[in-house]
Amino acid sequence: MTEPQRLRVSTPAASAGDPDLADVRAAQAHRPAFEVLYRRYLDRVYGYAFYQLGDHHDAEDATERTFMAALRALPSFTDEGATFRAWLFRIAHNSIANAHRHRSRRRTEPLRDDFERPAPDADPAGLVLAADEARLVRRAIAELPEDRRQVVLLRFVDGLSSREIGQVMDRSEGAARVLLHRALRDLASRIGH
Amino acid sequence: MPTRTPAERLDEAVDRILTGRQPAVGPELAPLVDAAALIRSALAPLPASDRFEERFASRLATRNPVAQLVDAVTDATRRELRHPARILITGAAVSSAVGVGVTVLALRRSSRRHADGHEPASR
Repeated sequence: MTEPQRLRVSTPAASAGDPDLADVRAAQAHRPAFEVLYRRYLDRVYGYAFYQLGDHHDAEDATERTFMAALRALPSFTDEGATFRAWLFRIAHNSIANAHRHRSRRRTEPLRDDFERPAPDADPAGLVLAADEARLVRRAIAELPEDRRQVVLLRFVDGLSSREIGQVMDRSEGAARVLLHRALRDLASRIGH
Repeated sequence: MPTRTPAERLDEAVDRILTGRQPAVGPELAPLVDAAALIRSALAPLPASDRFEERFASRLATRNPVAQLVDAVTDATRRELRHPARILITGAAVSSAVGVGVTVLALRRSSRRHADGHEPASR
């Protein structure tokens, strides 16, 4: 099941500044208008799925499921609690959890490095160093416990605030901040800082 | 003014990193901020392929009639079942429909069997 439960967080301020609300209303009234939201969030949902699943095909599949579920559930979206993007990433979170469960038989390596496209005029030695460092960081992220990995990806890949991460992960804003703090401490020790 | 926790100060520093600004933190948070800056550069944005974007956009635009019907039924069911009274009425209606259906089926089968019994035995 990929559709979200009604989010429990109900802070009015959480959605007061929801920049997507007008587009959500438009899509609720006229389904094809959902394309605006789809184009806006496709890359971010895809990036989140890819960094979680480590495979382009699985990431596309999870992304597709996320948007289809969001489209189905859109009529029931209300602005009483979470922002639209927290709501959408909650769906993505569930889709990815399902994907993890379904692919237990064919284990793929998380956070593959085949997406790097260096600039043609970059210094080769510097590129190698940067690529090595990035690989080390991604490996360290992949080895984090699941909740810590999620908070890092939602914060750094998708740019969600701690409040929104709390809404996605069903925690308070303070708990999301503490989780991020622990995740960064864990990562700093893994990568030798 | 209440003292902010390390988690709050770190969160603010991460906000600054994500918006391309230099965070100012004490020595206790400096290693974590360094790690955050490394993570920022290691987790580059990953665009979905154009092929996938267009294929899926066209799927969203032209949904098949079966999916539309399923959605309509799902929406109607969800709307109807939101109130307990409607659940009872829906339950009663469904039970009645099933009862009538089974009775009609039984009558038809029984009348057909009856008719078969009166057919001539020899050809």
